[in-house]
Amino acid sequence: MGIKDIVSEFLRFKSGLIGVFLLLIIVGMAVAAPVISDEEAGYRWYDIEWWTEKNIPKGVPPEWVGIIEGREYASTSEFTYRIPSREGYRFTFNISYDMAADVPPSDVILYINVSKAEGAADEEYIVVMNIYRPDGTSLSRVLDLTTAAPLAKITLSTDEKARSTIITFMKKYDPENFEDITSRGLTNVIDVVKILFSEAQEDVLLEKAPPLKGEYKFEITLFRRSTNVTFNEARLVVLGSAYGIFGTDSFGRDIFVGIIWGARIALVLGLVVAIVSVLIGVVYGTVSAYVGGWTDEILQRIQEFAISIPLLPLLLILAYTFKPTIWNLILLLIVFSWPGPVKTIRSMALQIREQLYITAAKAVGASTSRIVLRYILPQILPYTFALVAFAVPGAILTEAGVSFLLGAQGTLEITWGRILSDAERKSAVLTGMWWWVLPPGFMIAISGLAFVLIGTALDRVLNPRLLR
Amino acid sequence: MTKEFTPQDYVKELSEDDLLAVRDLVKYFPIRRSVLDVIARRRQKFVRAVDHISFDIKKGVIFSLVGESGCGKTTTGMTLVRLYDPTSGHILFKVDDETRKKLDDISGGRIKFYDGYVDLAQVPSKWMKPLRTKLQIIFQDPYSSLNPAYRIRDILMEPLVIHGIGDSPEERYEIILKALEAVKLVPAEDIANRFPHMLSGGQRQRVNIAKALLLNPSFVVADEPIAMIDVSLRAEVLLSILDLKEKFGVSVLFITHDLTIAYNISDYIGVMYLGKLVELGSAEQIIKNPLHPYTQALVAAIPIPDPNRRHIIKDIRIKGEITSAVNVPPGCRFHPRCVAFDEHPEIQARCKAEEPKLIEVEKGHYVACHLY
Repeated sequence: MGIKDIVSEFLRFKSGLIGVFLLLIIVGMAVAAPVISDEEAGYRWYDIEWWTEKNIPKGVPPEWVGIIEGREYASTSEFTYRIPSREGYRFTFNISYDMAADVPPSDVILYINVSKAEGAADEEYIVVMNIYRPDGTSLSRVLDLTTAAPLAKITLSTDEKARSTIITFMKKYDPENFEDITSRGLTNVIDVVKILFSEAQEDVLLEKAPPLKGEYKFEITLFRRSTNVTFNEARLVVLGSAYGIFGTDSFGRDIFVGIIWGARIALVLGLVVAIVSVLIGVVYGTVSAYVGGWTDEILQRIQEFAISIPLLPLLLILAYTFKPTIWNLILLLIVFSWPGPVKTIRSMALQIREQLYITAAKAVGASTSRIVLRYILPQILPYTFALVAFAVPGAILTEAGVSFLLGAQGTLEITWGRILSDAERKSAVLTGMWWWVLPPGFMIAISGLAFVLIGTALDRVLNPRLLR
Repeated sequence: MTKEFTPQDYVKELSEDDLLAVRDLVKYFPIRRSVLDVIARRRQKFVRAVDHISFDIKKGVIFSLVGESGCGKTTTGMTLVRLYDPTSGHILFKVDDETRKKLDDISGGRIKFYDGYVDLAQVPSKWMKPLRTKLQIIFQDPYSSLNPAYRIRDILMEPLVIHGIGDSPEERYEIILKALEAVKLVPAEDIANRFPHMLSGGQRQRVNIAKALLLNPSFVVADEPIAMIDVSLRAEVLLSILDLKEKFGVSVLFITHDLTIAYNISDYIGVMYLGKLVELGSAEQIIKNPLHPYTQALVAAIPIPDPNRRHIIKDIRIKGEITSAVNVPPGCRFHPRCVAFDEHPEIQARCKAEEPKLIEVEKGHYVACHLY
């Protein structure tokens, strides 16, 4: 059967076409990864610092969730105030934020950019922030801190002063819960940014109060001790409550970026492992069958030994010992998956070996290598495409399993298994962060499905006995 | 036999126009023993497919080997072209100077020649390649003897590529077209581009003949080439085989179980029974004057195409089935089935004990039977 016939036969199978379509999507993701996402993201995945600086909200669902739920999620907005250069030691200015979303922002970050005179690098300055809420209430000194940093970054959700101020402010509206929470020492768990943007009413400390819409005024006051310090700019970043296509994890990493970069690893690993191990298996099986005799016996016993080694535990230990890069993992997977196709190929080669045209080839003086290469392998080769397709999901799943179980000890590349592992470690399922678990899980399943569909269709085309 | 004959001795007896001389050729197949058999040290058993046969084939003749299924005809053919390695015996084959030179080159002069003959039985497989061009075989099954994955063109290209015939693909293609035309497969260009499954059995078999012709052989084994072909297409294949002899001067060992075809096509006939040649002679002698009780039975079985005789049930002078080549009967191996054996009680003891030798009864007509 020629390649043309195979293609035209293959096109008759809808399942195969679906498989090709799914595969094309994954390939498209993998190829486009550096274009549709920051190229640096590809190797900065585990660099949490780098991600934090990108001001991506942490642990928020995908943006399209709002459309489905019919609720508006806050999006990220930035306000910059250029501080005019003047005499004096005290600078006060307001930044207004109009909160119109049903789901309030996830965090507020304040940056203060200062320049300092030479020799005054250690000189400190003071940052104070009051917040005026739309319901007329206000919180004074939500921030009150002294710093010497040339670029101060203050995150509302992690700043101790801000936390205690907001909780204390809400105490009078929800005294019962306050007692309860403080007595149990659970104040650290409260999402203070969420309650800052909530109605001041009962149960607000349980994060059950509805959002308070309207204009919030952030009054920022800066103090300096001398003119050695010049205030340049204040920047207020209100982080949204939804992000991107697949949301973010609790480290503030864009899960979509992880998925598309993970597609590269999955495809490369799956295909390399499948192709190399099937090729080894095909050559091994063919030689074993054609040479026959004692060689066959010994080769078959070796194969049977190799295939009966329990893969996963051994792979875990080896992957842990060899400080795995993805290439080490590929090598290990090949070492353990080549015996898979041997028996099938051997039985095919045994059948072909007995064909009369092989004897006829001997009669015209064809050498053993010529017979194997020109007569036996070309007959087996089309079937190996199906074998490769079937071997890919196994490789991807095993890699995902190993990465999941090894976690931080695993590979340093972005793999779907590793994303799942991180989600597991951060209890994503328990905290309802389904967008951290489902996308990588689905991708593993879809990539496996794509290859299985292609493999089944190929198998039917190339193995006419299965044709119905 | 008191004296061990050497190829040199045999060659002395051969005449100028002998192409191939088979002497005492033996091919036994060992039967696979189980581990238990090996432990119990049971004797290794053999299928005695070919058991000491000798005959000569002259240049440009068709020699038919006739016998029932399982009598060793095909094994003989396969052994002659060294698809099987003979267990013992000699196959003396006359080679031209060009082939002789190639053999010297490949073996570094280690292959022995006896007055222009080479003993095929002594050439190691790795040095057979130059001889492959001179020895060809056409198989019984035209369906599985052509690689289904290749076009006729590519199938025929193989022998040329392997033996480096023709300098360019175009030149080889020309050679292929000529070979196809030689077996009357026209239009050759059209046939060359087809796949085997697009041809009839007869056409396939003629492709096989063309393939054998490509290498310009001097000896071709045709192993029941028409047995699996529709009756209506047999004539075209037989004509092509006759052309092998008449146009190309090739000697053919024609293996068949059909005496009628053997008589029509061949110059000489050898009758085989259970690995032995029982009768040997010209086609005329064998059919017109069969001597061996087995040959007589075969000749008697030839149907006569006369509607008036359709009610006559012929008396075929043979009993039972062919015995297994593993447990060969002692003495004459035909005696359990021989009607003459029953009719001649005086020689029964000899038939059971002594294996008959081929003796020349009339000029060129040999028979192995104690009756003569």
